[in-house]
Amino acid sequence: MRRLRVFLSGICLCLQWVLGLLLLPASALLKARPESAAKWGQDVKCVLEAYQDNAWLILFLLAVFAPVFGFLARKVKPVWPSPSMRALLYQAYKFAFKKEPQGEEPHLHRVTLFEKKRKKLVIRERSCHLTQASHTTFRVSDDPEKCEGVAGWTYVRNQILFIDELPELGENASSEDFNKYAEKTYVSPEWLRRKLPLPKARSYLGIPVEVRGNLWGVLVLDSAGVQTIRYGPSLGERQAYNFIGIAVGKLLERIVS
Amino acid sequence: MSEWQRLDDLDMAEEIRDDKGVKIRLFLSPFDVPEAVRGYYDQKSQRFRIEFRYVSEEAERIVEYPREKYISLFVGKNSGRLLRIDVDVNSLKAPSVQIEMAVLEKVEDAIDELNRLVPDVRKHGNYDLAKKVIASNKDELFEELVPA
Repeated sequence: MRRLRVFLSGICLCLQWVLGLLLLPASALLKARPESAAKWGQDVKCVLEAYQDNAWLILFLLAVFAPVFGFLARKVKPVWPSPSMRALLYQAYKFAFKKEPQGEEPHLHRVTLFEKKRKKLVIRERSCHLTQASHTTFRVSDDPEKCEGVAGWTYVRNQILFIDELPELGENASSEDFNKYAEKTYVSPEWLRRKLPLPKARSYLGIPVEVRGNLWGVLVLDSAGVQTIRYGPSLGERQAYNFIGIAVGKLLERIVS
Repeated sequence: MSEWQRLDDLDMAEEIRDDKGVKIRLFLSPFDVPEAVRGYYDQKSQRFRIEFRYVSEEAERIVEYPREKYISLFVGKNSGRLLRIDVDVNSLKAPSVQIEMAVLEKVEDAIDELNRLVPDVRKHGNYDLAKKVIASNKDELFEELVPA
């Protein structure tokens, strides 16, 4: 589907250029004299006369259809992945995580953008290239009890949520650790066990994202470390997360229809 | 019309829990935090008006508010955020020395009532913040309260 959209978008873009460029010679031919064209043959003269008789209609159609194809090209072109959004998420990544990524596994800190599609939150963009292929989704519902995960909770409550110092779910994790982790991250212990060896995250920050006044999805920052997400009592840090959420929402207003 | 007052240092109410050793903190969505506020007397409608500005602009709708005839509340059509409060100061018939207190009291009562009228608790943080903003900026907001 994505390939088809890329192909159609390319076709529309080409047509836009071709029609746009045709406007120049088409306008110039208005002034050409059919008698002068007769030296290339009577057929050329007849074609030129026929064109000049209908020139205003043809020029009008060229002028209308060139921008129409440009519009279609933009509409059909797949939105994701968006280089601008990826760059923004990377800036959020650099701000939010205290430790420098050098020497660490990059997927231990992630910034993920989820979009609400029907009754689920699906991954749209992720700062880390290693876990791009993840198909993890989280259920959302009007009933907060039926929502899944930090993403689902952030979406349904429409609040910024920060959780830190979750228990480590390694091989030696007890069922108490699983229950505690599940309770604090709004999933069931069974859901967690199905995801093993993931999740490794021990701290989360969820930010609701709005597009044109409508709740569109959420941005979730997660880290395998504790106290690694920059979050302090200062107003400046909280305002920085506000800024990140707003910047993502404003960029989405430009890239989603 | 009075100028917008920027609300740069707005300290958002934060809920902090330390639950079984897991630290949880909650605060308002960035889209629910007003950027600026202004209060002015609108000559056209003959109402005193308090307006909030947010990062997202959207159409507004009036809230049916049966208990108070002097106050009209307008919220975002999609978001439900409090966008505007209109006060019919001419009908209030409060002495001019007490008008500021009378309006503040009416507005605070109206926002409390809005909290009761709107069952969606996700909106309440925005309403409570709006109430706090009005109370803490009342001197600047109510400058044009008495019509010329």
